[in-house]
Amino acid sequence: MGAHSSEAAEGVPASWHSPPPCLALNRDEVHVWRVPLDVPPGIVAGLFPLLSAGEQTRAEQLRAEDASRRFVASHGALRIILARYLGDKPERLRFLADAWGKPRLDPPARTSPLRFSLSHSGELALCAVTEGRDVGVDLEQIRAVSAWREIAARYFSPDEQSVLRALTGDRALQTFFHGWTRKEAYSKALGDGVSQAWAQYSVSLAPRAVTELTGAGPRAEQGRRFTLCPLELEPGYVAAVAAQGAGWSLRCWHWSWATEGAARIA
Amino acid sequence: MADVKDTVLDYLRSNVIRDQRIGYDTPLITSGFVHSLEMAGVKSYLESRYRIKIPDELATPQAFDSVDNITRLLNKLGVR
Repeated sequence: MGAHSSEAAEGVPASWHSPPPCLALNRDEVHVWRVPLDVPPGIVAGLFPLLSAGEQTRAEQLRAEDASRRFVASHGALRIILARYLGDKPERLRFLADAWGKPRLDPPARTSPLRFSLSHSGELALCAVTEGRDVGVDLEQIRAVSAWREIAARYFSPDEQSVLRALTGDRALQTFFHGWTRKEAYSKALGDGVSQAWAQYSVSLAPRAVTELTGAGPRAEQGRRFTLCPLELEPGYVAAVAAQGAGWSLRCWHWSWATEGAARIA
Repeated sequence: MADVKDTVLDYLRSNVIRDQRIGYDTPLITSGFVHSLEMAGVKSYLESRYRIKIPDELATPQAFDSVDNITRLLNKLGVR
């Protein structure tokens, strides 16, 4: 398969910043937005009209406790973020999904090179945005998953399983989540789902390690290179972003409903 | 052997969702009850329980979106 994994020397950016008023996305950058989802009903009501009819129906069908609020908040924020880069209105954006379910913008009048990925877990969402670079982000709230060792046995490589076997307790579970988020972020960047082919390549499970992968995974083209970078979040959450190429700069923005959100909600 | 549908439902109620209100037709993924990690856990359990291999191309979110759908998937793989 030609998979190649290496641990890069640099670490992860330590903090999330408020975005500048004039925000530019350069081709050598990956922007990740951290969006808190614990928002009051008034904000949810203001976001709801920004969603498409299909998204509104999906939100109304969600039955799990708080799932509807989190869905509206994360998808509303995604629209506002993308609209900001595009200079468009959030409610005008349209999305399509490719054959594997990966969403992309359906630009009405011009070709947009903007790529994005959204993930949410617990009371947080992350939205990664690039210009012309395939990207995937995955976020997980660390939680009790009864079958996590069985999952690791199927989806982690022998090297990764060996690392996990040497660990116990919370450290083992946290390390499992590091691996899962990195593999899922990479898979989302490729446009794949969860796959048993994940066991055929390795990512670093160290908390702050950056991994480069070349040609790994069932749909990866030979020689196609990606960089996986863990994201620092508050305790209890683990996340990673994967983007095509190497040497790109990661910029992490903190979403504030009082500023970015309020400006776009009538 | 216990009914396949009830085996799946019991596993979900005991290990994944821990909510006795879910039924055979409750949407699991589209309703936000089950995420990809939990779906992988359900798949691992079913493969061990029934000694089968569920191919990636059949393990779609739709195929795992309810106990009914999961049962249909298992039936397709020869589990009765």
